[in-house]
Amino acid sequence: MYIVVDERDGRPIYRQVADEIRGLIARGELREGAGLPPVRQVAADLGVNLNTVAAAYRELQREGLISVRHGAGATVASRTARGKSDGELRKPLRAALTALVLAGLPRAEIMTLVSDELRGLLKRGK
Amino acid sequence: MSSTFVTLFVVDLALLACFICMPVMRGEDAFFGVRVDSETYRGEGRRILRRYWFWLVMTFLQVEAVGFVVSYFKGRAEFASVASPLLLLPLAALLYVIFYRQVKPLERVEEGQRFASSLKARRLKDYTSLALEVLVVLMTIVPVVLLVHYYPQLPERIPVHWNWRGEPDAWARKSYYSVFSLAATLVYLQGLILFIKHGLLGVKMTLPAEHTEEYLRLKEEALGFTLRFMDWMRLLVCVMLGGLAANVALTSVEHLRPLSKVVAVAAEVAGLMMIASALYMAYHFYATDRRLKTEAGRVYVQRQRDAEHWYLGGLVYFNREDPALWVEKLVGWGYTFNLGNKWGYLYLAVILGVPLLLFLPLEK
Repeated sequence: MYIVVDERDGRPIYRQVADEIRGLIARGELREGAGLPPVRQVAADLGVNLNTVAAAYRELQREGLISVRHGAGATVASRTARGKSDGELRKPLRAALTALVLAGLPRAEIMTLVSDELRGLLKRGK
Repeated sequence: MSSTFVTLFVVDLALLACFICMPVMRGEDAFFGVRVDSETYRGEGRRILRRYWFWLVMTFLQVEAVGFVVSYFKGRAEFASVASPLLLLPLAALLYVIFYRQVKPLERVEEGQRFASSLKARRLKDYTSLALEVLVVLMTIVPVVLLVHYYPQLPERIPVHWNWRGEPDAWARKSYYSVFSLAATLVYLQGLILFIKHGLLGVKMTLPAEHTEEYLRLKEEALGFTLRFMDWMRLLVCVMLGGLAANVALTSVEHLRPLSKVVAVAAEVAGLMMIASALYMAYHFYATDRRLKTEAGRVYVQRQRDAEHWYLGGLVYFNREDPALWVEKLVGWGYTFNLGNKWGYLYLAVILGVPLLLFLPLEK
């Protein structure tokens, strides 16, 4: 199991690392209790600063997705992120849908795309 | 004309072979740690490579000829034994750097790529066998205990070196230093190998986002093999150096003497097995590269950002921005350390201590 980081992607690296791990948790590839590698190892492999990976881990910890204990390293704590209001959850959805609408896709096609992606996420998460 | 000269000729020949193979990067359009266009590689690149080989062989022949003449006609074998490897290594390295500088302007800069990182934690305990650790600790302690116990009974003149038949051929005056130096070297080497093993767990594994599964599998396999190899070497070092250290006491104490022959043979066998293991390790790296080439298509993969931090034709890696201490070698096989990381100097100092320690016991 691995995460992928793209230097040409507009998102900062720490966000990409967090997003990749979030995706793996959502798809159920990383189960509750699964251990994550030490910050140092991921930073070395990706050739990025230690703080970059630490920031990603901190963000995931704030959301309650992982727990970090000294000595034991980081483990997946939960498959549900906490502390996000309905409005906050809608924001990225609205942004993504706006992009699809602006791309000129008809309503039916957007619905197919959304349900495809959702099925992909939930199927493996079972 | 002595056997020393023949041995050294073989060592020099091995050195030459290393330098001949070094710039070629496993059948890819890259050499001297520099990626170039296919066309350049086959045209201009080939010509540079052939010129490099020509000068290398010429230098080798000259150095050997001088060594041969001096040792044969003047009877000064020590000149050949010291001068030829000491002369050949820097000259070959100089040629390598000169030709690398010719290749560098031809470099094809790659676009930033996507890279991956494994989410499997590499922990020391996954690569450690408790039985082996106990065995190694025991075999390191036993010679020391033996020497401490028999120290008062040792004669004034003690053996410090043995020939291949297990008979002592070099002696020294009894002192704490001459008696315990071999055992101290053993403890030092055990610590050093363990230290390197621990460091290698954090090695930077460069994984391209394409064919990641294959790269990950083969690179983890290569790392696992390297770590197992180091454990195996720790065991052999124990048998070899521990045996020799114990033999200081075994040869000198009357009722233990029959044991000394057995121990000497075991130490010799361990020494031979070390050479055989090192050769097998080289072959294993070669085989892994071939599998990478067939399964993933490419062996030489670097971020452009990292590639810019290799110096002297990919022999030295210096990158202050990189948190990794150990990195995969750019040319050749295995791992090397990042000299931009201050901990790298600690490794360098500890490793440079080994040859010093190995030669110290031979002094009178």
